[in-house]
Parts: sequence; C-alpha cells; structure tokens
Amino acid sequence: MFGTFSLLFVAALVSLALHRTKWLKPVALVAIFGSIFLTYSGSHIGLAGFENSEAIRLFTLILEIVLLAVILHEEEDQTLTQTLFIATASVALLQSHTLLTFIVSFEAVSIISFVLVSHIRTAAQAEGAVKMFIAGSIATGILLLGAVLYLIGGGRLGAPIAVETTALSTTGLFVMLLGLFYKLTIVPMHGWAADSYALVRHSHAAILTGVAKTVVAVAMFRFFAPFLAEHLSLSVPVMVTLAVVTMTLGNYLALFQKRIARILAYSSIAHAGYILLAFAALKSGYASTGLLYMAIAYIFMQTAVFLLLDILRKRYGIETLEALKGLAKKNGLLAFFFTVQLFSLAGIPLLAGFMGKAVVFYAAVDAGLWAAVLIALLNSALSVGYYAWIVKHLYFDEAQGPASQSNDKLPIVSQLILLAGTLTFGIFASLVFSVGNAF
Amino acid sequence: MTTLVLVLLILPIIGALIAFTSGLKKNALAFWTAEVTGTLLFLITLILLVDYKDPIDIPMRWFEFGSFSIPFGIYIDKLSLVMLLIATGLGLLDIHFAHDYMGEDPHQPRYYAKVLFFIGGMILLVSAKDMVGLFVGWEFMGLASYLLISFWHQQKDPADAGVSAFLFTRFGDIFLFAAIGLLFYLTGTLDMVKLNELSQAGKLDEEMMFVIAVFIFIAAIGKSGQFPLFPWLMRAMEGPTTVSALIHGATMVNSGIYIVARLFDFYAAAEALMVVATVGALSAFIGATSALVQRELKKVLAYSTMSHLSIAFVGLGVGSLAAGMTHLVNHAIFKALLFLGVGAVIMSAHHVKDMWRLGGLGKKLTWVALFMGMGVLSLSGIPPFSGFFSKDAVIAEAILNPGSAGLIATLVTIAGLLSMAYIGRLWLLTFAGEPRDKGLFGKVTRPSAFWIVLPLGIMAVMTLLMGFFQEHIAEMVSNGPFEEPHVAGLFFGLMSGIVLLALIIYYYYVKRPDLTEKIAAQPLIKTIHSILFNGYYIEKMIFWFAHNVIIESFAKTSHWVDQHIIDAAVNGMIGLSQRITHIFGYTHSGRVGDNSGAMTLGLLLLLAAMLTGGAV
Repeated sequence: MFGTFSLLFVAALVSLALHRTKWLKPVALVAIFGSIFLTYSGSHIGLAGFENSEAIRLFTLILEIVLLAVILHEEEDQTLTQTLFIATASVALLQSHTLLTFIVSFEAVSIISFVLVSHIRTAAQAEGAVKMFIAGSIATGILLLGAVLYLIGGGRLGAPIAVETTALSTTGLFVMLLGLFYKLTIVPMHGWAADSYALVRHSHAAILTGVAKTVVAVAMFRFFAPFLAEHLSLSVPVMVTLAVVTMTLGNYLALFQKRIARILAYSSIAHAGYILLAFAALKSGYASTGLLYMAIAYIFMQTAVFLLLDILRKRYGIETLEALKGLAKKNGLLAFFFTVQLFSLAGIPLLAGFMGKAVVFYAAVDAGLWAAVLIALLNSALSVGYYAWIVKHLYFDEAQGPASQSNDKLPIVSQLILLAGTLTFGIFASLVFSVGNAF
Repeated sequence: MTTLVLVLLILPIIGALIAFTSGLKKNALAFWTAEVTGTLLFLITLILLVDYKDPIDIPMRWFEFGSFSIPFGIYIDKLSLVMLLIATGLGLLDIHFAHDYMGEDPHQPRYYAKVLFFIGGMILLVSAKDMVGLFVGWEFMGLASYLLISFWHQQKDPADAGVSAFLFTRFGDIFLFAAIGLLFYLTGTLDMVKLNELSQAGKLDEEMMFVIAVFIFIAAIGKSGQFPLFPWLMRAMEGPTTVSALIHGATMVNSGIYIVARLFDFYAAAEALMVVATVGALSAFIGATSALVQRELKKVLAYSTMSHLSIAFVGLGVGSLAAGMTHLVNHAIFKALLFLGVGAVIMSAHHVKDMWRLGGLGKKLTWVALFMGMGVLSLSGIPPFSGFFSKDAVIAEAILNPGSAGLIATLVTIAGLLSMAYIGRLWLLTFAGEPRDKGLFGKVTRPSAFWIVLPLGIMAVMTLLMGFFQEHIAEMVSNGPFEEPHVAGLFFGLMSGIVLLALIIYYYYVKRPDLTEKIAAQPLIKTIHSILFNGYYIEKMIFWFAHNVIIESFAKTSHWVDQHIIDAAVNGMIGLSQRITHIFGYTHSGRVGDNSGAMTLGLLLLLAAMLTGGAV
C-alpha cells in the first residue's frame, strides 16, 4: 500500500543522501506534488490505528500545499529534509486513531521540531532552541503522566479515547491535554513560545507556529472532541478560562513589542486562544467546522508572515519595526503580501482569517458562550492595533536604505501560493463547510 | 452547457491575469491575450445563443452555513443573452480597436487586464440570478470603470475624474446594498426571477416594495449617469476613448437600465415605473440640451449617452419593456460606433478634441466619416437605421400611456428631436466645411484599415441591418410578442422636425458660421449657453451642498465627536493597556526556570480544579 505517508517517508529518507547536491529540492518538490495527488485521490495510511476522514483529507491537502510553499521558499538542505519528515509525522498524527499512535506521532512531530531548530548558528538561535527543548521535555513528562493515569484508570492503549471514563482516567485525560497544550502554546504552557518563535530562524518559526501548531490543534480536536463533548460540565469552564486568558495575554503582550517577530509570536499565542474557543464550543454543531476553518486560515497566514520575515531578514536585514519603515516604497510586492496576510490575521472580511474567526465565534455563541465571545471580539479589536501598526510602518513612513525592487522567484511563488490560499478560503467558504462535520 | 457558462464567467479573469503577467515581458502579448480571450468569449456567447432553448438556470450557493445561506445562482434567458452579446461583441471590437489606439502606450498590460476584468464583471452582472451575484458584478464594473477612467493617473484630470466617478456611483451603490439588505430581510429571497413572480402574485408589501424599487433605481441613476448623478459621466471622458466607448457609452452605463428591466414586473407591481419615467424624461431633456453646446467631441457623446439612456429608461417607465430595451440595444451599437469613430478622429488629429479646431476631415478620413455618418443617422432616428424604430416606439408608448402623455412625452420628444441637432452639429463641424486649423489639417494621418476602420464598418453595418430585425430584438428582450405602438401623425411630425433641424444646423454651422458667432454673442443666449455648457450647474450644486451641508456641518460635528469623545477614550485606553502589558510582562521573564515553574503550577492548578470540581 503506497500512500501519502510512505511516499513522504521514503522521500525524507532519500533526501538525507542528497544533501549538498542539486537534486534535493527537485526530489522534495516531486514528493510533495505526489503526496498532494495521492491525498486528493484519498489515500490512507493502511496501518492499524490510523483512520482517515473527509475533513482530515481536506486539511492534509492544505497542509501539503503549505509545505510545498515552504519547500519552494527554503534553500537549506537540513530544513528541507526536516520539512519532509515533519510532513510525514503530521500525516500520521492527523490520521491517528488510537492512544498509542497518537502519542507516538505527536512525539514524532515534537522531536522533529527539536531537530529542526537544532541547526544552530547564533547564540540567539541556541537560546530559542534550548528553551523550546526544555519546555518540550516537561510537556512530554506531563503528557505521559496523563497517559499513565488514564491507562491505570481503565483506558486502553490500542483504542480511541473512551467516552465513558472513571474519575482517574478523566483526570488523566485532562492532564494529557495540558501536556499537549505545550505545542498549542496555551497559557500556562506558553512561556517558551514567544522567545523561541522570535529567536530561531524565521523559516523554522514558520514551520513551528504555522504548520506544527495547526496540525496538533486539528489532531487534538479530532482525538479528544468526543470525550470533551461528553464531559461538558468540566471541559467548558476549563477551556473557556484557558482560551480567554491565552488570547488576552497574547494580545496585550504583542501590543508594545519592537521586534516584528516578537509581535507575531505573541499574536500566535493569541490565536491559540481563538482556536481553543472551538474546543469550548463543542455543544454547538458548528464547533468542528469552526476549528477546521480556523486551522486552515491560520496555517496559510501564519506560515506566510514568518516566511516573509525570513525574506526580509535575508534581503534587507529587517528585524525591527523601525527598520521596516517605508518597505512599500522599497519593495511594493513584499509589502503587499505582508499587508494582506496581516489583515487576514486581524480578521478583515473576504480574507480567510475573518471567516475562521467568524465561524468559531458563531459556534461559541451557538453553544451559549456569550461572555467569552464578547471578550474574544474585544481582543480581536485590540489586535488590529498592532497589525495596523505594522502596516502603518510599511506604507506611511519614509524609507531608509537603498531601494531594491528585484526579488528571487521561488520565494515569490511560495508567497503567491499562500496568498491564493488566504483569498480562496476568504471567499469560497463552502469548501470548508461541506466537510466541516465529517471529522 | 453549464460548463460553457462557467467558462464564460471565469475566462475573463484568467485572461486578465495572463494579459497582465505576459504583457510585462512584451506589450504585444497583452494585446493578443486580450484579443484571443475576447474572441473566445464572443464565440461562447454565440454558441449559447444558437443552442438556446430554455433559460439556463444553475442554482449555486456562495455558502451555506446552518440556516444561513447566500445564494449565487446563474440564470441566462434571452434578455441576458442580448446583454451578453453586447458586452462580449462590443468588447471584442473595442479590444481590436485598441491595438492602434493604445499602441503607443507603455502600460498596455495594465490596460488590457483592466478591460478584461471589466468584461468579466459585466458578464457576471447580466448572468446573475440572485442580487448577490448582480451586486458583485456591479461592483467589479465600478472598480474597473474607476481604474480605467484614471488610467493615465499620472495626470491630474484623469485621476480626479476617476475619483469623481467612484464617489458618484458609490453614492448610488449604497442604496443598492440597502435594497438588497431590505429584500433579504423582508422576503428572504434574493432570486430576481422569484421576486418578479412574488410581486406579480401580490405577496409582497406594496409600500416596502416601492421603497426598495426606488433605492435600486437610485443606484441605477448613479451607474447610468442620470439626473442628478450624471456629472461623473462627463468627467469620465478623461479616460482613453476606447474605454469611453465600451464602458461609458455601450455597456456599463446600460447596467442601470438592465437592473430595472430584470426586475420589470417588480417595478410594475411596486408602481415605481412612473418615478423611472419622470427622472428619465428630465435627464433626456438635460442631456440633449447640454449636448447642443459642447465644444469637445467626447463631451457631446457623453451628454448624448445620458440623453439616450434616459429615453430607454422612459421606455421602461411608461410600461414597455420591449421599447426601452430595444432602444438600449440599438443605442449600444451606434454609440460604440460613434465613440470609436471619434476615437479614430482624435487619433488622426493628434489628440485634438475641440471640434472648432477640426473641420473638413471628410476629405482625409472618408471611411470614418461615412461610417460615423451612418451612426449619426441611426442616433438621429432616420429610417431604416435601427435607432429610428426604437426611439419612435418609446415616444409612441409615452404618448399612449395616459400617465405620461403630458410632460414626459413632451420632454422625450424634444430630446429625441434634438439628437439630430447635436449629433449633426458634431459630424458637420468635424467632417464638413473647410478645415479651420490648417496647420493641424496638414498633419492629420490616415488610420489603419484593419485595426481602426474595420470595427467601425462592422458596427455601421450592424446598426443598419438591425433596423430590419427590430421585431425580433423586441421579442427577445421582452420574452414575449411585440406589437408596435402606433400614434397617428407621429412619424410625419418627427421626420419633418428632424429634417427641419438638419437644415437649420447645416445652414448655421456650414454655410454661415459667422452668424452663429454673432448669435452666440447675445447676452441672453450667452447665459443660456453657459448654463447648458456646464450641465445646468448640477455638479456645482452638488459640490456646494456637499461642501456646505455635509462637510462644514455634519462632517465637522462628527470630527469633533471623534476627536474629543471616541479618540479621547481610545487614547485613555493606551495608558491602561500599557499598565496591563506591564503586569503581564512580569510573568514573562524569559527565564527557563520561570517557564517550567509556570507549567508545573498549571498542572497543580488543573489537578486542584479537578478535585474541587468533583471529577475525582
């Protein structure tokens, strides 16, 4: 059975042998195109413990398209290989259906993330990588503690999460969720994120915040939603509290930052709060659609902004808002890409980010969480403050340094793909609505 | 069939993208992409016409979410097909014409991309079943029109004209949007076919229907350059002439009439047709009289466009869908012909637009003069040219309808007769007599036969041939049998009026131009002249109102409220936000120990919550 998973896995292994040759990128591209084709035609891993669904198929497809953009953008051998590995692990995580496969795939994604950022060149990158590694280790500890409690409480390793649970296994599952929240950067598991996202190389941060985070969110939702829906009296207060705290904290901390990467890192934490709101809204039939939409919107816009930061750093050495001034005059195309994706993050209509938020908030209102949605809306309004602030620097300030309009081709193609995603899912909402409930 | 329609909808957008990107390498590629796309679009429309049996109805939804759904259906009946033929056919000729007209311009990719985008908007507008699709197409066209008017945006006048067009049409668009909202709220459907049926069956509240119909009509006034929202159309002449021909002469300005025609039964049931007829008659009169005294070639055509669109509106307003829409179709052809003819003149005369500097060009531009002459005859309403039949029909219908027999019929008849005067004046001043500017005349070049004269010839033949198929066209646009209205003596009266006017202008402008100058020097005539020349000072009045009433009072009050209340509140929030950020900042030392501590604390809190929450 030759499916997406095996194709990506083989390609990742082969790519190791192709380092320092000109074949690495073409092979990676062929592999990812092949996997897009296989996913489109509905491939399945074909092992026990994995199961596909319509919603997962759509999300896998989008994940592969985004990774295609990442591969087009990236030039470094190490990163290309790890991108293929993370694609493999993500496909497995998204389709995993039993506790064992879930934990193993999750850890695979986690560990590949460490390998990814371990390609250290500067002291700052070392700091980012180490912080992430330590936080990740503790989170794994918590995750396994939870799993053990769940198993002692009567859970089974080779089966999906039981809906009927004992007190001990319920506690175990919540502890597991806490461990998983590390990857989602939910308060209080978020401390590492702002530093690591801002310090590691931007293309790595794009994979961490854009790709890995959304994959974990979707997989977690798929795996835990039946259980959480059964224990609403417990899950709703926990999720709502964490969601509200996370988004408020993320947005406030993003407000007065000077480095662009830091603003976006905190905005990424804030978005985790919106995503978590979908977990709280399980009473509503639209929660799964909301989560899927939010994840799809988020993977496009977040990956795009960090890849753009990578281009800006390489090309102009831009790191701070101060240095960003007048980019529109220096390089109108990049400024345009940046603006659209920032507007999408801010939730401006007809862009994917707006629809994502709209559906999640709709689901939350439908589930009766009026107060939480009100806070989320205020948070959204607050976030426009710093997104618009970046745009103001892009367009309304005088440029510094020499103008240079020429761009490398491949990163621009990669940005075009991501832009197309943001626009498509901002307008053609039916694409997601039609599979939103088929989790 | 469905696939073909979808291709028709998507192809212009793809074409626009290709034209833009390929054109960046080589200007000619942009033109050829546009030409091929235009040809394909026209061919597809022809196939749809030949294969037409029943209306093509494709129910589609933009999205459906819970109980909320936004429809985006496609519906192509004969009325849509006629509009499609106009949009794609004239679009193709216009693109073909632009090969030479825009040949010198360095920004051709941008030009062709915008034109194709415009055609895409028009196609969407006329094939939409629901008002959502209609609105999207409407706005696409509005955007394209703005972008194309200000195509030479480096210069001040075109840039200002673009802004003016945007603001005037936008004012109308707000009402269309409001009407859509009201319709959705009151009836729950935006399906225009169904709205017609519902209103005929008397299932809608009549007063609300009237309000909605008037709202939609205000948008139509803005788009079709009717009184009082017409000044933008005159300024829009700053754009390339090919754009004026396609957008501000033949297609986009028709969309206001199309929307009334599409909702004709709704308008009839809402008893809003008289509003349409009244505004139309007034605009027809204003347009026709103002066209009489313009100096610029394109301004004459712009006022004439306004006047003739109004005649089509009056046709609808007095209750004859067939007469109004037939006039719209005829007008589209001969007005595109006249605009492009004027474009050929302007190009040959090195961008001189002032008629008083031209003259005698018939000797050099014989074919252009001949074809434009056919357009002139059609616009003036001389049989057997197509313009005659529809104009005659509208006037007859206006006289026959008791509600409009008085003032409306009079105004429309005057406007119809004056067509001869202003368009004859334009033709005579340009082509007849002796050249007034000898230096310029010497430099006039002959246009290319294939790129310039051929499209003019096609349209000239069309406007003649269509005169023989008027009943077919009328039956197509009204989806029913057509009976020509008869008013005793009307034909004779109109013809003698036209001939008399023709003789008068020939005498004054060719035989005795010195007399014209003497008359124009009279104080009273001078005053009237300047009122007409400035379009009854409507633009000045609107600006006065906007400046004194809206900006000075309303906007300044809002500004004060914004500064002292809203901004003050927001600014006050900054300090608060900084303090909150500061507090949150304490939790973020960035030290690994603190991060790990937070995680552990979180675990403990969770366990505590589980214990107190009663889970364990």
